[in-house]
Amino acid sequence: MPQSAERALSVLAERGFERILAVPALPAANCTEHSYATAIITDGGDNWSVRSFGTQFSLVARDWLRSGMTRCYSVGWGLAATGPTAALLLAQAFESDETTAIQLGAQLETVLRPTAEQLAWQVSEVWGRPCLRLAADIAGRQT
Amino acid sequence: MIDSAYLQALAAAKMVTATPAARGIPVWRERGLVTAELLLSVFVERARQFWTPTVIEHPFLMPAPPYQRVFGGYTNTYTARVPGLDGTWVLHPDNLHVNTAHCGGTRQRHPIIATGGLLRDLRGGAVPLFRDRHIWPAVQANHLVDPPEGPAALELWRQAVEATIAAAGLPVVTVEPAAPSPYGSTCLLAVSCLPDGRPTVLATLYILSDTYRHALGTNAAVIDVGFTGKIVAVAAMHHRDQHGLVLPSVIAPIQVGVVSASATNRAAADELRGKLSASGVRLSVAEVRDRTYARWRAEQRLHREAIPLVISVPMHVLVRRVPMCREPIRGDAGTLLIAAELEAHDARLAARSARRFDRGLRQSGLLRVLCTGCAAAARPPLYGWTRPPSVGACTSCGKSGQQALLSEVSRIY
Repeated sequence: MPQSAERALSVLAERGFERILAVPALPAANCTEHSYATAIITDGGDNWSVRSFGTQFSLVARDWLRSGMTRCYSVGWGLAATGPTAALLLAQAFESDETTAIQLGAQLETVLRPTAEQLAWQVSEVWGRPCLRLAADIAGRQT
Repeated sequence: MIDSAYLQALAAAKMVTATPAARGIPVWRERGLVTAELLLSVFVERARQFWTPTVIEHPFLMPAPPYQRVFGGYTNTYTARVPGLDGTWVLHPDNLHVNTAHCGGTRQRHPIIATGGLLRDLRGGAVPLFRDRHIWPAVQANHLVDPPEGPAALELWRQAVEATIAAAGLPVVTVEPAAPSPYGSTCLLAVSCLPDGRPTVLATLYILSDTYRHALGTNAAVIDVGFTGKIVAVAAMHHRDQHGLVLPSVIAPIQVGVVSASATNRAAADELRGKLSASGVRLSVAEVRDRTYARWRAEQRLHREAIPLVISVPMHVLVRRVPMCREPIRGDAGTLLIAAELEAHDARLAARSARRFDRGLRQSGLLRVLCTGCAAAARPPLYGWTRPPSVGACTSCGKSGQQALLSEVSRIY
């Protein structure tokens, strides 16, 4: 990962995001509702999703919110538009209001955009709370 | 049966979440990730004493055909077609074939150490960090050497593996099973123990059999060394007290917790923080109200987070773990004192788990010196011989023998 990407990740830590493991793939049937944007069906006929670029993912489990674990990110291998990338960043934050979530998204975009090959974020309501989801491929671009 | 208290302690220490993402897929949190990185760095540093290893994490999507050429008969994997990619892909089941291709492709004889996780289909129940579908961290070193150099190289890898397990405060003995392995022409298992003294395997070391060597397309001796997050799980099983997890300082994300009253002690805490940070100590400062109960609560929170040593300023009370004791620091809380305290902490943990190992294996007679004849007739039966050989007089007949591990079960997991 380029140094610029590592600096960008430190910004996430400063904003209270906790790093969690970049689990590469998840079965669709799971009690924590974790998922990624790309769905696959294994040869055994099971529905899974693989870690990939896109904002339709879920990193934060609902019961983590009660313990205050509301901002998380993971970084590692993932599938981007051009194929597998070594540093796909996925970040998710549950905020108290939509304005805060949008501001956070905009701030992170400003920090990450110079490093990111590809970046997208969206704010939507999840479990009755405004939720920011951001995806960025930060593996390659040198600044 | 494994008690789940270790998992609760790991969750309370913010190493993993209390519930997995799915069956057999634990979620490691920041502190757990740092612990795994520290454990890996012990292994890599040790390997660097002998070679110039490349450390790499391979993509989790692997083309299926090269994998199946080597591991065709293995069915505990996930294969799928992936949108946007041609062909069939397998979800990171192993590193051997890509590591070997990397070594061969670059025509180098330096080892390669792959990190990351492995995904394997799990039949039966999961035991978090111990037996998972997403096995993480999964560290796999491969080393191509000239065949006559294989045993000597494997011996150096044994040393690196044992040093890594020892860094987690765990006892270890390396055993060569008596039964042949289809995977390796030589097989070594790094055996530690659970808190009840039962043996458990924490790492495997092989010189691969000709079947795999040919499948990989190399004439070199292929060394395959692997260990996983099970080391952290077993460390968590051993190193706990009534206050929570106690990590050895070498793999503790935070080594020293400093409790200070925010209003009155900030200068003293800052001075201590500056001194310790400058010497490379990983520390965390908890600022509390200047009340005895507030300090106690902060200390307890730091204990739950597996921090080996807590210092309360400005009184400079040192709180040690295993056994828990509080005592005033005489003189300056300097870096030498802290380094000595952390070293003593690690030694206490290692000694405690070593006593369990001795009780479970040595004193019970499962690990003892036997001659070949007595080993053949031993009950429980012979499992394997320790490596390097530890010779002595047979404990049954007095003839010349070497240390053997006996086991009721034919496969130690």
